[in-house]
Amino acid sequence: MREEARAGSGRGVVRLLAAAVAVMALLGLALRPAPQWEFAFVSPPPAGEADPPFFRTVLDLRAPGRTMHSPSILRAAQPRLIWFEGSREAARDVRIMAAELGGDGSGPVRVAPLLAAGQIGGAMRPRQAVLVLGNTLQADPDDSDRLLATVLSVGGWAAASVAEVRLREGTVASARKLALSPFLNRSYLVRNRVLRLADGDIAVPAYFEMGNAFGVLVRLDRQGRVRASSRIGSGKVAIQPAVVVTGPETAVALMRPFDGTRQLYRAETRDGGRSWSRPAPLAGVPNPDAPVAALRLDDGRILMAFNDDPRRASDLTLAVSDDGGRSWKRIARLEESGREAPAVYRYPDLARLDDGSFLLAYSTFAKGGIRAHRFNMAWILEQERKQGDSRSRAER
Amino acid sequence: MTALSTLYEYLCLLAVFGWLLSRLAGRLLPGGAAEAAGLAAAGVLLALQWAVPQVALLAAIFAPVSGGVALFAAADLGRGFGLRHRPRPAAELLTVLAAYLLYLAAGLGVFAVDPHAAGYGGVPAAATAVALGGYALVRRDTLLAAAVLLAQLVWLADIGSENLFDNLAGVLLVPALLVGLWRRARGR
Repeated sequence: MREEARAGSGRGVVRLLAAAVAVMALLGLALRPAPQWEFAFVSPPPAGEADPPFFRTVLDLRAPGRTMHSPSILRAAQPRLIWFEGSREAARDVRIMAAELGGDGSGPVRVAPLLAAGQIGGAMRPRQAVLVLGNTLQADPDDSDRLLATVLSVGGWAAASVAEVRLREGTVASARKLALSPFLNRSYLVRNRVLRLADGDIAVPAYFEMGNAFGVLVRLDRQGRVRASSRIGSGKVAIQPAVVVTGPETAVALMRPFDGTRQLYRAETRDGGRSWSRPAPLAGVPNPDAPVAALRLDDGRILMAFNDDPRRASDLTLAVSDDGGRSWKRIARLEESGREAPAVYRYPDLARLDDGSFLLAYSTFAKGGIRAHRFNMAWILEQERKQGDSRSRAER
Repeated sequence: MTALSTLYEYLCLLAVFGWLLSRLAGRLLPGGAAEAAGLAAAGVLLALQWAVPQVALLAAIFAPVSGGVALFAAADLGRGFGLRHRPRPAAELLTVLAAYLLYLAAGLGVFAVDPHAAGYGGVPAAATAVALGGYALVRRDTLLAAAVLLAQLVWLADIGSENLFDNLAGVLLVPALLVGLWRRARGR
């Protein structure tokens, strides 16, 4: 009799729990609906085509015997550059350094450490060992105190996670890892600039590189929590997508090859980033296994900074595309081999500043230095004219 | 919410690592004592990790821990203290193990489809929860129904992972299932 009573009460409990699950599922549909994917398609700031052309080197740092790499531009009224620096890449002493640039882009005002691994781990709840820092970038286009940092607790880069870090008055106010992978939340990294979505969410180009290698567009809400993700490719193809929005629902991703192809990969979306075409190598655009940086110009074309060589990153070249990144016209070669040694220029980042000028940063001397240039639209047009003239002369 | 989230994460870590350590202690100690020793050792480990973040590798590697897995671990720990629940058939454990390994492989990019992405919200997340709740109802599995409900609650409260599937299952499910299968093989 007692057994029957217990079984009956058990059935009642499980019925109650199952009903609660159904109610919570409905609540989940209301609170966590599938998001609308649409890019915030805003016109870039005034181009200043009528201004006199200018091109200035605003930062040129070198630390012999140390590693300085992966610069990233923080957009703010007073722009800053951040990069990771230490005795070697992935060493425990790596810090994220920051250089404040003058409002007019003239030279660094101040260079100082911004973040250390221990600060991030100590701010996480529960506290976590964060031993190494890597690529770090601005998490919110409108807030340079919100960062996304590639962090390591164990192993190499393939075991990395992405942490959202909030700064307040120069210290780490909070930090948490984004839940991106079912496998111990490992092997996701960030490198390229984030994008704003139409509803205020943020799209983060990230990538996975444990055995397989592919890009991912991660959607964060205003609280910095992941609300969706979409893969850009699968298997072992290409990583580090530089995503350029070309319309409210269209964008292209330019990606570093990871399959030995030695050609830049391109993928595109036509539904606001919800799904992506299979990345395909671009004929005529070599790549020495290195990331690129790109942004949309106000006339709809795309400007890209890349290494124009299939084997070595011994040059840094600017090119423009007027067909959505399918074909490219080289307009300027900013670095080339033979000028300095070691001539290795990698990890460009490119941003449009509030005054309409462009800031380009990259690592120099084989991850031993950081260089940044500021230029304007008039300079880009001037370079195009010069290239056009030289091509005409060559054809004659 | 941060304090609640932290407490939840530590309780999950305590349950899971208490369970893992109690399985090891069970080689030497009788039931009850092994569970108590496992929980005590896990508590000391977590207290150490709270005090010294530089060595906080358990949380660094395993957080966010699945609430569902933690609940199953806690229930199994309860066996040592006299809590009885119906053993799951080996076929069910094998099916869950195979399905979970396929899901993990998909998460690692082995297949083009990414089921983990469906766990952030929308119809797939709701449908998965309802399907598991329905299965629990049919099987009269109170623990499974409670695990699904817990996963939904913490997911919607933004505690732990922002992905429902992370709250339902985690990599630590694999050793748990293997231990379960080992027990079935030994007729326990």
